Amino acid sequence: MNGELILFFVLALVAIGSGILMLNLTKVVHMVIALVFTFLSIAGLYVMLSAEFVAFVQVLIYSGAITIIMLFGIMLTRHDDKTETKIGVPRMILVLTGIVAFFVVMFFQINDLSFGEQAADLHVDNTEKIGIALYSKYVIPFELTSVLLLVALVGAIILAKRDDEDKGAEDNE
Amino acid sequence: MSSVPLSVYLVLALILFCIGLFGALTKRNAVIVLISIELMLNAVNINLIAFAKYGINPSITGQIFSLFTITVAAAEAAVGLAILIALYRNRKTVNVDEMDIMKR
Amino acid sequence: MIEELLYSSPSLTNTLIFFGLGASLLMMVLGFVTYAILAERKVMGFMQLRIGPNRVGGPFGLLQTVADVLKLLLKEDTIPKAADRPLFMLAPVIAFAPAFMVLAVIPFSESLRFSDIGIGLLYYIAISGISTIGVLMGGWASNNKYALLGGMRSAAQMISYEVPLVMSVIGVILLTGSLNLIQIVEAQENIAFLFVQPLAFVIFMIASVAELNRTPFDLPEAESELVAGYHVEYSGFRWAFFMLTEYVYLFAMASITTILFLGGWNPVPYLEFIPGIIWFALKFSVVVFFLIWLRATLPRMRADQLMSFGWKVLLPLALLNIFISAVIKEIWF
Repeated sequence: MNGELILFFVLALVAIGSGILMLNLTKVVHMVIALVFTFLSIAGLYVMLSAEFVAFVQVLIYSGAITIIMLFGIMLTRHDDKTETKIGVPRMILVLTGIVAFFVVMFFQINDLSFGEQAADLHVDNTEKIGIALYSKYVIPFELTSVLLLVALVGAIILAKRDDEDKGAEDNE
Repeated sequence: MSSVPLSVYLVLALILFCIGLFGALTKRNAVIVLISIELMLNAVNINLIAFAKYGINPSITGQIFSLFTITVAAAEAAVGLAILIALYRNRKTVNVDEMDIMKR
Repeated sequence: MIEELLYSSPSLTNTLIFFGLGASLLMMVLGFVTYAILAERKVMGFMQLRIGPNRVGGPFGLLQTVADVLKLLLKEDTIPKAADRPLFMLAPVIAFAPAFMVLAVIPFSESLRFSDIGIGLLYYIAISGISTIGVLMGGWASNNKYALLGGMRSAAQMISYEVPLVMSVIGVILLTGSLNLIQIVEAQENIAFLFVQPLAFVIFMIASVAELNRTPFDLPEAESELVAGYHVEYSGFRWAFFMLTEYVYLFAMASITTILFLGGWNPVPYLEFIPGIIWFALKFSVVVFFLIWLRATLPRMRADQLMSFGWKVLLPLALLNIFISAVIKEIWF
């Protein structure tokens, strides 16, 4: 039982625990806040897997941006809403058996998976390596992502804008 | 050398994926459905980064792929939420099972 | 000494030493906060031809803030009946913890630093974004229309101004070729980035004032329209946590400004005999004074002016600055 294992167990416990908590809470805001902890502990796991740049991008995008957009979404819509899961019992059982079957199948596939080799120097100059790879080998996907983000930005503003008034000064997240 | 084996990360990612899947299929609030999908994407990212370190060809590529996934997830959240707000303005509901205007 | 410690292998003693160092840093920051509040009140007093606090603790009111903190500690901690209890209690913690976490990457001098990580600047930006959730939660959980408005405004403002803040820093990163704050300071040995990147400095200062929710941009807690913004329902020690968050971020932001644009611990030419930590403290104090000066001088902006200024003026200027920096880097470096 060394430190790395303990750290892994703590992070995994927080991630799964907050996920389960999200499924069981009743208020929508509480659910989103619970998932913040999952996202943060996943960032911790990335650091353990020597991906420090991706880890802090994860913190920036998920905890900093996406969660806040979701909270805004909840507050701008019907916020006193409690999602009681009023879906029927047969459907619940169906979904649950499907997921459990999926879990069992996948679990037996990956349980003893190991390739025996490890990258030892991924954490050395991690940011620089990502930058070099991104701007040489993956430059076309990178540019395509920027187009995708632009389209998403314009699309989101147009969708969320009120069309009945000409001055729809809505928040342009 | 790291002492946590690859399969443990994969199992963790599998559990998170199943939680996200369950949330996306059973919750009625559209915001929660969206964020459950984000959780599933996150589980996939864990896999990508774990394979970047422990895979057959360990390299930086997995981390770059996860960066692309995060970007697409951000775009998806923004557009999804804009659609949700536009729908809420017209139909006064955020529950996914009441958004069935195409069926009627 | 700390440098050896950073690169040594982990052990129980090292953990205890780091814990002790962290606790002493916390004490230092709390001391700064105590006297920054007093300094702010004094400086603003003199700028407005008043004397400022002068009753408690000697000639300059030196114990005024200590007395205030003691009052806050003894005050009753009220939680509104209609509030969302768990979130209400969690919000100050979520707001404060990142404020202290960001201090871990800030290097104060050649020897006084607590970490040496390759993504220092990204760490700062990412972690400080978490505080927004705390503020939004606090405004939401209070179940009060003013608090909710303040929290929403605060979140919108912080997200909007984070974009130009990050964009303006990219010029510095381009010229340094690193996100490591120590390497950024070392790159300024000959000339501070203030003179290489003046446009970036102006954008960064404006955006950082907005990130700190300080006066021209203090809409989230505009007293005259929102009572007190997101912390209107908080009292006693929970309120003190929000106040502390604000001033710890003041400390962190002034340090980051010093590091990125004023050359950190690098001395002014011909004055190299003064140690680096004193240079850092001097530059840092100038930045803090500047922020207080702004607060005493400028009126508050309107919400729509704030948003259009951020998106339509600062963001294009920051993009222009990135373009100019790239050209400069291609030609001269």
